[in-house]
Amino acid sequence: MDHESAGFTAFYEATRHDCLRAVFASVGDRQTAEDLVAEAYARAWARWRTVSRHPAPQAWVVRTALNTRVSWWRLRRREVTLPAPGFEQAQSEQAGDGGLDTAVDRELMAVLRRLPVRQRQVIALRLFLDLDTTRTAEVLGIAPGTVTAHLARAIATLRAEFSPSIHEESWR
Amino acid sequence: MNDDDLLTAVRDRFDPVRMDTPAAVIMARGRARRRRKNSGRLAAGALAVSLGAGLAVPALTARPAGTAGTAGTAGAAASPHQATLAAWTVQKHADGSVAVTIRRPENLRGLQLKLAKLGIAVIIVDQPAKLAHGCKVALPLKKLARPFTFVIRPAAIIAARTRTANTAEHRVLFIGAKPPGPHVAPIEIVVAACGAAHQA
Repeated sequence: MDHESAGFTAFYEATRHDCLRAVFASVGDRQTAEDLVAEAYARAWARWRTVSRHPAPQAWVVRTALNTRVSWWRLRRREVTLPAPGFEQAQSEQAGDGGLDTAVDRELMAVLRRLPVRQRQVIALRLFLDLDTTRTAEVLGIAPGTVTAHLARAIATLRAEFSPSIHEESWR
Repeated sequence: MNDDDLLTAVRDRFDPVRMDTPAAVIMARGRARRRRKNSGRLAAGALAVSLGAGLAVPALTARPAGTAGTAGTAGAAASPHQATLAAWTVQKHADGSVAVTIRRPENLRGLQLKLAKLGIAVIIVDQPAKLAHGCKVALPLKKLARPFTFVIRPAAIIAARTRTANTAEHRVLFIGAKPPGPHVAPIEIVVAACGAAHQA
């Protein structure tokens, strides 16, 4: 394995879970998040010499994944998907088994999905990539003050709608 | 509970979310992407050189990556400044999906063979009436003006086969393109499910 491959592999192993969590929290769908993150890492590897010099490569990956989501949406917005025979049944069975989202608290995911997109993205970058306000603002292309405002509103919503479940759990 | 405790609690709930794709798979995908990009640049460079040299280009097939149809008719005889796009183009994406652009409903048999080489068992016909007897039109997708592009996901076709266990071997997706007639401007795409016995 050459130096570049080793560097990318080390970066991937160190950051892949957090990048997936950040994108998952932003888009609200586990399968889509995995596809987006895999695509973003593939793009990172395709231009690794540039990305490796980025001040926060994991933020680059998450930003690329979120941009890719918009591109895919543009590409596929005119498509009409035909449900395969038995697909709805399979989906309901998967939902019954818990599906991919069960790994994360459903109540928490419901609260996150109710947040505006920007608030979700700010929370995701802050939580999982541990980016400060300035870096978060750079990644999202917004003003630092806007990041602070989004973060405060998101935390207020989480506190109001998610905190009770934490207290309930502590009583169990 | 302060803000940090709350955020820590949220973060902890995401601990079970893990990315299981091996690095080797990601790197192979990245290499394929780089190859496609480079081949696209080479093609664009060659095209620029041709145009710079004043050569007539009979047909531009617009194929930056993947495979492209060559059913287009050359327009060189008309004028050295005219160029005609291929009748259809097939482009395979990294995620396995295949984008098909049809500009003119010509040589659809060739398109069908090209898709078959990519592992997609579909039948392309120029008129819905040519669908074999017993084919049931499932859904008229959309009426679009030419050229139109649609994306085929082989995984969806496979899923359709496997999920109908009792009729698994007897179902396949068909795509038909109806050419515009004198009274019908747009092209109609239809997707139909047919029995295996009626496959062309």
